[in-house]
Amino acid sequence: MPMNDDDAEIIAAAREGFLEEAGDMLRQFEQALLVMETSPQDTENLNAAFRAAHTIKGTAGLFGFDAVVAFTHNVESVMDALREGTLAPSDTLSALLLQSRDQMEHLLGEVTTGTSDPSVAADSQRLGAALAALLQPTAGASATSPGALPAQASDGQAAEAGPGRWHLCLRFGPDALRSGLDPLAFIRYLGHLGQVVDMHTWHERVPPLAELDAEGCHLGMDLGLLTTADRATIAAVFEFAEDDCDIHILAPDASAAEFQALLDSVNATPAEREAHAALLQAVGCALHAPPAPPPAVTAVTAADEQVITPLERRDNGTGGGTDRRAAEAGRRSNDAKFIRVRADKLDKLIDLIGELVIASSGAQLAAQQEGAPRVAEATLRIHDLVQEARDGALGLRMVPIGETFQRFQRVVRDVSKALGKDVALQITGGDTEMDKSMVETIADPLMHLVRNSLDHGVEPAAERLAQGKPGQGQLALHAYHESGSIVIEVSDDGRGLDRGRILRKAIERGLIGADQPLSDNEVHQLICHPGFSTAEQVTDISGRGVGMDVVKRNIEALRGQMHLVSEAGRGTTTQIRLPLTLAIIDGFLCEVNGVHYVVPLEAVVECIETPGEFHAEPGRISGYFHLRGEMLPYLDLARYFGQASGQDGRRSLLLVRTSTSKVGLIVDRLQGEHQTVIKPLAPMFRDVQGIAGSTILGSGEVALILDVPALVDQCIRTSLGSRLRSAAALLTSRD
Amino acid sequence: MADALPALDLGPELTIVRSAALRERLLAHLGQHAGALRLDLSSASDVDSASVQLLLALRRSLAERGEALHITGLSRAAGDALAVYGLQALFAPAD
Repeated sequence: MPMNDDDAEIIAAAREGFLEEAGDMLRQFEQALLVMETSPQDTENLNAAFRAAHTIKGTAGLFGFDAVVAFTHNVESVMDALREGTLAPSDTLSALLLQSRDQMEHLLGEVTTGTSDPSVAADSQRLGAALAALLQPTAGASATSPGALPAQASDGQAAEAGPGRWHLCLRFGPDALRSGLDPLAFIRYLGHLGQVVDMHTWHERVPPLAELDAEGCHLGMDLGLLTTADRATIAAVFEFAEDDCDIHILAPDASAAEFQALLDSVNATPAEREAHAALLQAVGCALHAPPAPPPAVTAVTAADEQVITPLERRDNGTGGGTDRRAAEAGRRSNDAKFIRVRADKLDKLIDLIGELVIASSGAQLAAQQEGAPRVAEATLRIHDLVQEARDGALGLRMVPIGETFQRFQRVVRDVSKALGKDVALQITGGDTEMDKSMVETIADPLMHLVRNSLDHGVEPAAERLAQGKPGQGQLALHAYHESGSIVIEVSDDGRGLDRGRILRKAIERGLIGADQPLSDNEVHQLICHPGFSTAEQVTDISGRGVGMDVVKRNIEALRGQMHLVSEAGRGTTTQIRLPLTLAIIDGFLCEVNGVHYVVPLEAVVECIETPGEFHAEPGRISGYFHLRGEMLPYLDLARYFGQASGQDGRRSLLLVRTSTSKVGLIVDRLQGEHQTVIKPLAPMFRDVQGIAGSTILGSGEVALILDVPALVDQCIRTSLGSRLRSAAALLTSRD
Repeated sequence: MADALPALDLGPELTIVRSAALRERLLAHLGQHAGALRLDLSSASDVDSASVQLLLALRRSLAERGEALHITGLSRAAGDALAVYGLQALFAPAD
């Protein structure tokens, strides 16, 4: 087939799709392995793991990623043996499989980057051999299940076992030839596995020339294969034909019921069934049994399943279905409820809807100004609809956080094993939804927190027992929605933060003065200080002192807040509060020198009159004021942005908070709540401090969105020097 | 057997790429010539399942009007393909 540009493009796109799907499959595989550790008898789970490995291998083969195929084949064989019960699950086995999962990821990574690292290949060799070795000892004990002979039986064993006659029944679908599948190639290839005997081609369905679809396929065949190979090896020949071929592989010891089930399944008419039965009888297959009982009877279900499972055959509508197949169909139709959409298309749509929100506000304003009540009513209706459309569009980007949480099952397992601790992970609120881009960004900070908890929080079992706690530590990931934000909590029941140790370290590092009085909360926040780490022993897991401050910065970059609560001996909870989406915020609109500013509403605590301290020294950019017994810094936004306010009359103070402190912002005028579509600033203005973005008001004017944490930092820094002076001034004014 | 017509030679490439064209050609041939069809497959160097299927369809069309298909020559490639399918008996060279 000639390969033109279109083909190349399609293949490139398919390749991308494959890599993405493989990522999903790896996640499912890992998930299933972790479930296997706790409930090894869950067959549906083992099937899921097998399916995942099988799919990766199958599609990798289509693209010719041989390294992936070769390695994954071993994994698949082991999963198959587990599924058939010839291999018993164990800790070492699941550890090996988890390592293999990582190896598959490395191999797929090499496909993505187009590189090849000899050490990765060496790992493949090593792990592959370990997996194959697992299968070896079962060969002797496999009398109960001949289907589970090791894939690569050595010559000696092969001679001992002697070849069996497998019966293969193939019905190629109408599109097989068009899809590039030539039955000839498959049968010739079977010749490599053993000897093809009793070849019979069913050509009764081939129509006369006049009615023939020359590129369609109307062929089916039955054949015997004398081989020592196992089911998986035989099935692997038809790996890529599953979609276009109905494949049945019956073991040498297949029962009469299995053959009956085969007859029922592949033959559409009684005449065909009769001919097929005659052929099977002629080649010596055991048919002498009463007609197949209804599928509800266990024996038949099991037999039928054996015919179907190895290839996850898609039901082509012939024959009776088993529960398994129904489940399969259910799974597929479940899949079909989702469509993949390119993220940039979605972003474009959300962007457009953002514009629409602005335009609709503009229309409303214009209608009001024109004093046209009917137009105003119409725009109000449009405004409502636009709001709904906006919510819907934002909802498209929302994904449950559960998938991210699930990844930590593996982390907790690996890390606690490495540390020799016994920790159970509890996940709640996994269906809480948040913006997809945030889900991705939040994974890293969460990883840090989880590792911190495991390493520093949860004590070793002996220490726990000594304190009267249960030996198994608990780590919980919890998510929920609260007033327009999403809250994620990572909590452990470990030793909690050690106030004394944190203080010692902080004083040692010069972060605080030796006799500075600090509340518990303030002490806890110290561990988020850059370069702070109290772990006495630097471990692999954490304790390099790059942890918490990075976590905090990452979270603040998402306009979120982080808060630590800890009780000595009882555990630590880290609470992360994030906005639901990055695209739109509820803001508080105010005006300074004729310029509009938006402060994120969740940062606003209250609005008050400008305090006396401000009036006392009106020329200052920042200073301190008293509010109900608390001394808080303030910042005159007008002066901060470079020009004294032209406002003569009353000004206001907007009290805003960050996770650590509260600050008063002096503004000219308060304009109330405003829903804001955030637009990034042009690159030219990237370096402007204190501004997070811009938005366009209904009137067409631009409003700037304040970056509250940055402003607060700035404010505290500039006012620190003047703190004493201001306090002194305060004292004198009181005298 | 008297050779009223030279045997039909379908050329070296008997694959799915040409199967639609070959079908047209065979149909045209059947339309023009009554009686048995003599087919020479001795030059066929490339034979796939689509062609085997085409031969089966041709044989069936001829059978429906009571005629036979005679293969006058069989290349190794064609013979192999038929043998894999276990169909060599149906298409044994008659001459």
